[in-house]
Amino acid sequence: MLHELLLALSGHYGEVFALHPPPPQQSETFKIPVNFPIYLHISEREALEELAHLGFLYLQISNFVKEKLEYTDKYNINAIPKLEDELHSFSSLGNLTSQLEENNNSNNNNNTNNNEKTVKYSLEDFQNGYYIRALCSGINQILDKYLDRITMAERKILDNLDPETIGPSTPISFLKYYFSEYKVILPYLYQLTINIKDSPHKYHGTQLLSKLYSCANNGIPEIKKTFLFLFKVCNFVFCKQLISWVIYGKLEDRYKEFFIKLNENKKRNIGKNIYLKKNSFSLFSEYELVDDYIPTYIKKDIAKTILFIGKSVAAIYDPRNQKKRLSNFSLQSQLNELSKLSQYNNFNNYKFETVIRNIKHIVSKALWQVVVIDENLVLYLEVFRNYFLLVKGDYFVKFIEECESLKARANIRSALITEQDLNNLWNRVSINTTAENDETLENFNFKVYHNASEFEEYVYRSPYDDYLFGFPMRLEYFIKWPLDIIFTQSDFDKYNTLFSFLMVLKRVQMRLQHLLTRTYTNKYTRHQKFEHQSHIWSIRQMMLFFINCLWSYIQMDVLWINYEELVQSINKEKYKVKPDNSSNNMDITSENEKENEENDNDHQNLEDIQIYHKKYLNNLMKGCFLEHGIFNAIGKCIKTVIQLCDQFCFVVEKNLGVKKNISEDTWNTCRELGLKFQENTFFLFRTFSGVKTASVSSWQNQYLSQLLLRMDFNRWFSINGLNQNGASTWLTPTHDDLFVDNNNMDEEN
Amino acid sequence: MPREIITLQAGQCGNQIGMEFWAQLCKEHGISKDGILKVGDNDGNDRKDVFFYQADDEKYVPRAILLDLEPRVINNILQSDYDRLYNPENIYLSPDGGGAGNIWAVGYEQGEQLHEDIIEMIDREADGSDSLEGFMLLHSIAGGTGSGLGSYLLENLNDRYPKKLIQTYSVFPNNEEAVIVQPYNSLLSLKRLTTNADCVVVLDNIALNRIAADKLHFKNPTFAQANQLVSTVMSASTTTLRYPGYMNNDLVGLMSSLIPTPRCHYLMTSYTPFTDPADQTKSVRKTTVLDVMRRLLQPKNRMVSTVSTKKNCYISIMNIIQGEADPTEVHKSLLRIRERRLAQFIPWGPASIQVAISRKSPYIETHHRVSGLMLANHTSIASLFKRTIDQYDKLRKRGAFLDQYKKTRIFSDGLDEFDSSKEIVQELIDEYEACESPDYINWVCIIIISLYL
Repeated sequence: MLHELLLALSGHYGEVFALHPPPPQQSETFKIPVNFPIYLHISEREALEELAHLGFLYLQISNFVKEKLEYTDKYNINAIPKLEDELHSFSSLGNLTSQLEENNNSNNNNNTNNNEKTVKYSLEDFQNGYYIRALCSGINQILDKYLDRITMAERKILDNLDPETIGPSTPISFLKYYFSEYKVILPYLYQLTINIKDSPHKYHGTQLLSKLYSCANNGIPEIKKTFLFLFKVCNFVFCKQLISWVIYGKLEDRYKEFFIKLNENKKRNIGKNIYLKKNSFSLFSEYELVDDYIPTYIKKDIAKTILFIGKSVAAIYDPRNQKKRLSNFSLQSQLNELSKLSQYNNFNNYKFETVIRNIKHIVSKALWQVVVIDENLVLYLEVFRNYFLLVKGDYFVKFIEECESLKARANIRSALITEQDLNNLWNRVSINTTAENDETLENFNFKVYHNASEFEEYVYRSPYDDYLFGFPMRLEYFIKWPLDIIFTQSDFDKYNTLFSFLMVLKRVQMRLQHLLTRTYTNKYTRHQKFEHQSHIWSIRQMMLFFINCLWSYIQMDVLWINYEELVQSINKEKYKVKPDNSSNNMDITSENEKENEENDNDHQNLEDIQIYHKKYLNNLMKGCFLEHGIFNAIGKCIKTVIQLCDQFCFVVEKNLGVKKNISEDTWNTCRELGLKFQENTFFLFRTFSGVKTASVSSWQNQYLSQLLLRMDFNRWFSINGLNQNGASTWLTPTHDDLFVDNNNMDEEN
Repeated sequence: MPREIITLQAGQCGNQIGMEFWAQLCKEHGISKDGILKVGDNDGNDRKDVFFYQADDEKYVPRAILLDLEPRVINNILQSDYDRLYNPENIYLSPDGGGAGNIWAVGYEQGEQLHEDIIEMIDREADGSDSLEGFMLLHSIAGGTGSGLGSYLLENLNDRYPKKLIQTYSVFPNNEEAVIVQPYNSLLSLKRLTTNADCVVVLDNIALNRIAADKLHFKNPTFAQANQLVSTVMSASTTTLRYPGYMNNDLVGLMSSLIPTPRCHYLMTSYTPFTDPADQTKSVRKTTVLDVMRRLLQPKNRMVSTVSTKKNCYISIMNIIQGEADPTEVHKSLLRIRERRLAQFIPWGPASIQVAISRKSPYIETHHRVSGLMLANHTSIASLFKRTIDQYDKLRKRGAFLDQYKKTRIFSDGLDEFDSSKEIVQELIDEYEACESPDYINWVCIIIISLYL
């Protein structure tokens, strides 16, 4: 009987301990059948069955483990530490990557050998993974100990002389005592396996760590110990992935288990875009965090830091890196620190964060030197400001004019404007402007999309990108290593949005300026009187006034101020490094204080710069009313206004270009455009002042009040614009009567 | 593509101002007195080619044409330190050297006679530029050469270069002017300035002398000192062209925002702070953007002495701020000026103070942190024209000094030219007055209609 029991404990059911309820139903435990020949007292039966249940649990768990291990059977079992193997040699860590690669290779072999399996893998993605394997082998170790215990029990039972047992007549109570520990552990483990089976996607990768960690928060010491052990086993995998990422900048994540992933979308874009591919917008700007996979015990900002470190390290080890300053860069010193983390029985948050922070400082410092000092980051920011944000005015005046003539030429030939046309223009125009000797011009490159479908792949499409030529275009900047850490693709999306908007605005401003004074109109318009002259002039003046206000508001209040802020915050970081030496004369105490301060401040943080830059761009987008929400409310109206100005210019240019006077028809069109324009500007004015009085966040208030001040400086808008009908002394229908009257009189005369 | 501007200097006053102007430009661009660029200083952020071109030997040569009917001033220039700066081919002295004798008609007639030579010079200069933006005429309207020859030039430039802009810096006469016939000359010139120029920057000897006396503490300011003020203003008003930034990189941009209707193109200027070029440290004070912008609006800083009434208002204002200005300061100053109602604007349309922040020349050391120039279109300018008409009427009633005029071809058939000039100037005055009322646009409308009737 005892052996029957021991067998049952080790998961072997038979006639005495049978599956209950019997198959084909889902068995729940082992039970002694009711019709069992030997009479058993109910208490005995209960006691036996209770013990036998452990065997059932063991069977289930080991089946689960077996299944999983078979499923992923190619993993080097040595990589998982044994319980006794406290000081698993970390020397192997150096070979980690190669090891992993080997595994991958063997994986591949397996896959090719067994096609069925390949299909299975891809279908059940969450079934596979390093973490689950680690967990299984961890559980295996626990089960092994359980089996050992059974062997021990048997030995004791067989040993007549054993003091604890009385040989063959060992009481059940002894066995119950002997397996009491497992009585606590196994149900929990069983529950865990069921959960994993039921919803593998919730227990995938680093999520498993979170679950184990929360399970380990348990008052029952045995359970705590068990789950901590399992956690530790899995954490080991995590540490390896982390080390590979943090120290070597490589993401070893075959099963998508880590909380950092490659953004597939963007990667695909790069693949298709020949230009980008050529310049290899490197991959590390495309990594991102997966929120669900960040272990619950790791703070979000630490996770971000880890992401940053990995990207930076990848940048440093990038083969394009030819900086001498970085050739000796190594994080080997931090490797031990990091690997020690995996040895603690519990997860030590404080130590973890300290190590991560230390590494970040080392990385940041190295890159800071390269990016900010060697590469002169601020110079790049200025280049972007000069060209993407049209601060080099004389250059763009010429560029826009040449674009117009390019367009005209292309129309005549009915040819398409190609990228090459634009790029040639871009470089040619610089002659005799302040941009003449600017080498950075060559790094700019136009990209046009005649076929609209090509463009849709980009995540971001700006509202103005096709205004200028009728097809979308982008201005790309070939950014060199290592600055691509700071400037990401989405930053350039934003720069492009701003660029296309400012180009359109500048163009319409120039067109209005030149209307009636230069190029497009004949000499009569300047020095002779013509019909409706004053009205045409006043419409032009209204339009030009608004566009000028908008332009100077954007350039001064938005671009300039935000740029100053950005440069200041970068410089602030910069001077953290070099405390001025003038403080040498200070007395010792203050000097000590100063030293402490220095240590605290000695974090030249590239990540912060990235954040500043993002903030800067976001502010610009908001200030120019291009951000999505604001665009719908205000930006669309501004676009309409710009379109109206454009149409007005077109009508006047067309008619005054050849003739001395404008016809009544033309004037009617102009007046209609003028009235529409007035309506729209009044709408904008009302919206702005409405928003201003309502309590909105401070930035909006600040920006809007700046634009309002410029627009409504002589309170003309306040007086006329608040009227809902937009009626004013300007361009009201009453003029019609006047004209009619006079025409009549004319006829009479 | 530089937007080249060709400078035409006519007459005694024009050439004197021009001399100072070129001296100032040379200083600001680091060009030596004989046109050689100071080595190593070139930061590439300025555009010298708007006003200069480079000769074969890399020397910078001003795009200037010096015209006079008498040799005195031009000879002065040729004897000064700057004698080698100018292109000698661009200096035109009338062969007889007799001058115009302060008679507009003589100057005008001489222009007709010298037409070929002068136009040849202008054409050569214009052909030498990539994309000519326009002409800048420096002259006074009181004398004979500046006003007469200047008027002739204005008319001809219009015909010959219909799409180019013409900006003039015109010095208006003193009350106690030595030239007795100046009302005649002024009136006749004003007609051309109104119908043929795109933009007239009005300068006025009375105001210049007053500012020289008040600000620079000269008891009896000399011509050179007054002209120094003019050159400062001229160089400041062209800074956005020469040091391009995000705003107004061409003349048309500068003008179009200031001039809402074609006739109202007379601009007045203010500048602050002035420093004595001889002793810069003497009058240094603390400057802020607000301070500068406030001072610019004060009538006593205007370089035109007009008689203001309460109805006068600004049609438009453009401030060019040079130096270490911060956009936030500008915003605060605008706010303050609006609160205090320091400037009164037209009631018939939107208007505001436009501000352009511009770089300072790296070659000139200034003691002031911020300096500013205001270009303003203000209706009180009409009082200047009124004064001219009044003075003209007085003379005309008596029929004084008309003999000299009658001798010339233009007046040989009668004095119609005077009447038509007066009519045009009177129309201009009316237009400026109408600008002060809320229904200005309708007013213009009626005028035009009445013309058709």
